[in-house]
Amino acid sequence: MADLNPLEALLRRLADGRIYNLRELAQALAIDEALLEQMLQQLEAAGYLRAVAGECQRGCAHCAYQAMCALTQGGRIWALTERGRQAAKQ
Amino acid sequence: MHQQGAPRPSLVQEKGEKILSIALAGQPNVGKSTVFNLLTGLNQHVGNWPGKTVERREGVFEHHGERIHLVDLPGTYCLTAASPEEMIARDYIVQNRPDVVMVVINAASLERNLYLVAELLALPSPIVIGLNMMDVAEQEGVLVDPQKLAAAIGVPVIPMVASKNRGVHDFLDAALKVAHEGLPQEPSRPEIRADHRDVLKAIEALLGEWVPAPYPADWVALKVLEGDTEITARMKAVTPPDIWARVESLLRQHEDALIAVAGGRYAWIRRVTQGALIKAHLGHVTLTQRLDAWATHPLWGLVVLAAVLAVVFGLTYAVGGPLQSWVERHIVGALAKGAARLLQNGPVWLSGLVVDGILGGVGTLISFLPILAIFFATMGFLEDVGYMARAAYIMDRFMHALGLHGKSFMPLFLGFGCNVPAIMGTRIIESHPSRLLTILLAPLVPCTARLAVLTVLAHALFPQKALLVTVSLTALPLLVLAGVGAFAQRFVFKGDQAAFIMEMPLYHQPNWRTIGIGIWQRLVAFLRKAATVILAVSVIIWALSTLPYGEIETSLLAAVGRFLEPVGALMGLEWRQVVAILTSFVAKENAVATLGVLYGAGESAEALSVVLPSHFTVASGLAFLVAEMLFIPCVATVVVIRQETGSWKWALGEIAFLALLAFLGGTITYQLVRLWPI
Repeated sequence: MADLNPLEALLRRLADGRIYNLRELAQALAIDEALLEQMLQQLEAAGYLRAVAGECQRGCAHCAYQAMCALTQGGRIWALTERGRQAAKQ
Repeated sequence: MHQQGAPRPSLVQEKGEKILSIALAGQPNVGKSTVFNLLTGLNQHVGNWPGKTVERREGVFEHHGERIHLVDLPGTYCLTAASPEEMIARDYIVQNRPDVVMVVINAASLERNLYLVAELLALPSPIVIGLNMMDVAEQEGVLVDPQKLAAAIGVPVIPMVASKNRGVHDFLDAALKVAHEGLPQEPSRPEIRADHRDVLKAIEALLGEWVPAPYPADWVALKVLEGDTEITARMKAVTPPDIWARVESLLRQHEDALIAVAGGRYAWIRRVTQGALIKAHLGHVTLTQRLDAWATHPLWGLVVLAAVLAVVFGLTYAVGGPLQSWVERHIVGALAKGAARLLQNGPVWLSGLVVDGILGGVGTLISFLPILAIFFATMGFLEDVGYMARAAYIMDRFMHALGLHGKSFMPLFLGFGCNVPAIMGTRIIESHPSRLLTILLAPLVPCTARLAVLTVLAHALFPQKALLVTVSLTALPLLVLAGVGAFAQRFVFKGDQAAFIMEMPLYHQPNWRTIGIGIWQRLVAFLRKAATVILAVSVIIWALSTLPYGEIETSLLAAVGRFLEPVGALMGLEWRQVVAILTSFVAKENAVATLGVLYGAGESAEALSVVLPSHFTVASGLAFLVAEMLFIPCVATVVVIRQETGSWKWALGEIAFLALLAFLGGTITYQLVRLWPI
């Protein structure tokens, strides 16, 4: 991936449809975690990624077990969108 | 392209003397305000930017006999049009063309801070960099070489510790030198990817003559190519339609230009930091990193997860078990005895309703409250210290190894809380077949209510082996799910995968108050459910088990149960046990309540955990639990399946599929354990 810019390298890595840990992803791309966050926010603003954290709250306002929900644990989660998937494939 | 105050020509005359115009830029929390205060002292004015609620700070002061007008620009991470602060900062520099821009960056977070520098280099004013927080960076093991950074970027870089007033005046001196003499060399600027350079030139050529002064045409063209909404809208308004149509046509052909433009900036950051960022995070391993080396490891992470689950259930039984026996005997049992004595002269039906129906059903369930409280406490503890996100992460790796992965994972993981949001969460899956399959698989993830029933009944049926039974039967539906999913992956999910990126929150010390509130809320919600749905079902079950002759063996429920007995017989279950599984359709906890009513746990004042083992063998007990874990989800989940699939056909199909799966699972378990007793 030497000739790819870090943004392309990130998208290429996401093309395999796995779940990534922010820290490990930053290490794999050899960049600072804070810079990776900036890249993720930029890709989110452009529609390549979508922030999904907190989504479960809408369905379980009255649920006794809502605190068990994985998506309300404090960590942010991004999902690759269809646009992101197409860009990652290229 | 707003006007941010009157244009300030370079080195303007004010009352006969020269006044230098300097802008102070930087990302939030880099010590920019400290620098501003140190330089301006009391000579500062605070107001608002015209037409905005964003604070504008500026000041005039003297340095080496020169008067300087310093404007503190809002802190921004970049110069897009995403916020008013970003638009103010970039418009001020473009329109006012300060003699120099002093950029404060945080040495401890060098790479991210350089993104703003990359954007500022595209603007007309020269820049000087103040490398602040050198002390913090050193403490964190980040060593930055200012000379090498200056050589790589081609602008002066001054090391500083603004909080200790170190280097701030050198920073100003360097800025004044650049204001008077210009930059010593042409800075190294980010380049866009080679395959987009011609497009950029073409856009610049098309828009060039329409770009309003004082905006630089090359910067405007870059912003339009990058997809900057504000600049694009402005240019569309001032460009003739036929020219704009050609620009739009170029943009359509290069929809992913952002990757080429912004990617060029990230490549530039990598290039300029290569020699300058000497040792990043040397020897600085945080507690979170140390723990995550185990907790998120592909193999050890699974071992840790299994150990954590074993501790959760082990603690639940070790502490909750004795408490449960006490509550059963001394509270629910005593209540049942007291009620029976009190109502002995009243109508038979009333004593039956209270003792057998209400106390037998709801009372039995409530006696398990200590077990649930411990379970909720251990889960709450794991949530609060930050482990749950790791569990999700490691589970995906496990699923991936089994062939089930991609977008379906996240909704499925939600199912551990409750199947309802899991099914609603499938909305993130675009492909219809994949979404449908995920919806149909979601109920195989054991929800908390199902886990609570398993926890309670495993303790009652297999007090010596409760931990082993609970962990195995939690894993069972997941293995079934993985099996069905892996099969489906080959045919349905094929090519439909999408990555997730998870931020692992830092591990931290538990907040006992938060955990306590969480336990309380869940117990209250559980009791509310017991007082409504479970109470209603208990009363209905009692009524059906009493009517019409007052004898359970001749009751309506017995007639229904006996009709199903041949099915139950294959699983080693008698009709009462089959009915208990059926009533869990209303709410999972009803399985326990129904067993309480039908085995007269209230009437005999004997605890369900005492009565129950005599009605089950090892084989039938395991078969019962297997069937319960695989059975149809609760009615709320089925309603959501109908809502999300838009068809009763799928909802009913799901009921049939899971009923069959439960029957097969129960039958196979019973027959195998009978053949090879454990």
